[in-house]
Amino acid sequence: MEARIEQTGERKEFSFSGSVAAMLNVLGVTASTVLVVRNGELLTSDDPVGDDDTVDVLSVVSGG
Amino acid sequence: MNCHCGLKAVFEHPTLCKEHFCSYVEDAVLEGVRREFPEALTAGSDVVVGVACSGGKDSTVLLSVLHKLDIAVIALAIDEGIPGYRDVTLTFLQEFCATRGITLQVRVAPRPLSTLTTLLGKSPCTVCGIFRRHLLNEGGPGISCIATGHNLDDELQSMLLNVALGQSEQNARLLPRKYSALKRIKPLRMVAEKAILAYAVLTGITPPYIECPHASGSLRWSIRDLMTALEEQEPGAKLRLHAFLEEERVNDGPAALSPVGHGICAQCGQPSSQESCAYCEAMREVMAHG
Ligand SMILES: [Zn+2]
Ligand SMILES: [Zn+2]
Repeated sequence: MEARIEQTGERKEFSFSGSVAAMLNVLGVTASTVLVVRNGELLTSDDPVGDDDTVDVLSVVSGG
Repeated sequence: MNCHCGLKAVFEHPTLCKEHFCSYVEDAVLEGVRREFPEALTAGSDVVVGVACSGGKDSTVLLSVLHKLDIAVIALAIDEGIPGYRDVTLTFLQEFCATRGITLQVRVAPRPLSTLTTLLGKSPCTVCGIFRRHLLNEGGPGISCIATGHNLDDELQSMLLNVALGQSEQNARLLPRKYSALKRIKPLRMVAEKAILAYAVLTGITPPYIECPHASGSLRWSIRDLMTALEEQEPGAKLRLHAFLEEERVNDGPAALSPVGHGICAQCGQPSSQESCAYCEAMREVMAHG
């Protein structure tokens, strides 16, 4: 799957299947500081994501 | 994870579906206006709320929701001349307002921020604050109050900052109050930053992800990181801390808000503890140096 990390501008490609919470763990991202979006839809921590998915990891904190 | 209505949730804490979550944020803004400036909700009133817009998610969501609630709004933006930051956010704001038929007024600082900081020998954030505050307080024709996009996390950071600096009595001063002729209100101050971003995503509000180049390294930054770590270890701690400080400052309110020692600038009439306010002092320097 592919994760686009807004805060760093990185694109990470990796093999994964599991919950959003587990994916954020793999990515080393603090869950409370981000929202995860797939095809414009907001995901919750228990939503499953897998290898066919591209997700955006949006940073909650930004200036202003 | 499902909403109480049975549909799939799009947000956690509160766990709600898209429709119920959007209503939750919109109701919170409505409640905020009712709490802080009920005049805006009187049918047939000619109240116009000036929304201090930075082009970031908080003030843009505030502008969007007030507009949706049929409250008359004007977007007010300050151009402090921060290249690579303010130009980007202003472009977004111009487009956002144009597509919704919202009037946008941009006030430009007399010189670019870098010139002002050199001239005045002060930090960018101090100088920016002096000019922003003054230009916003000026309001504009027909504007009845100024609404800012401060959220629950901003407020918690500000209150903790005051506590850390040994000036917790200042916390009550952050509450909505009359500032010169115009009241300042914060309709989003009980809404968490994360909920505001979620609302933006759900309603197609896409501000550019960009941070002010001067923002990092401040004490506020450290407090923000501390709160994130605390929340990670003890979920809900942030809200409890906020509730505690909120109650304390509301109880403090009347005493801290007394006008004693809070005068008016002789030149511009805006609040100032000195005879001449920081803005008028700064302008004197600017004029003296051409
Ligand atoms: Zn629902
Ligand atoms: Zn003045």
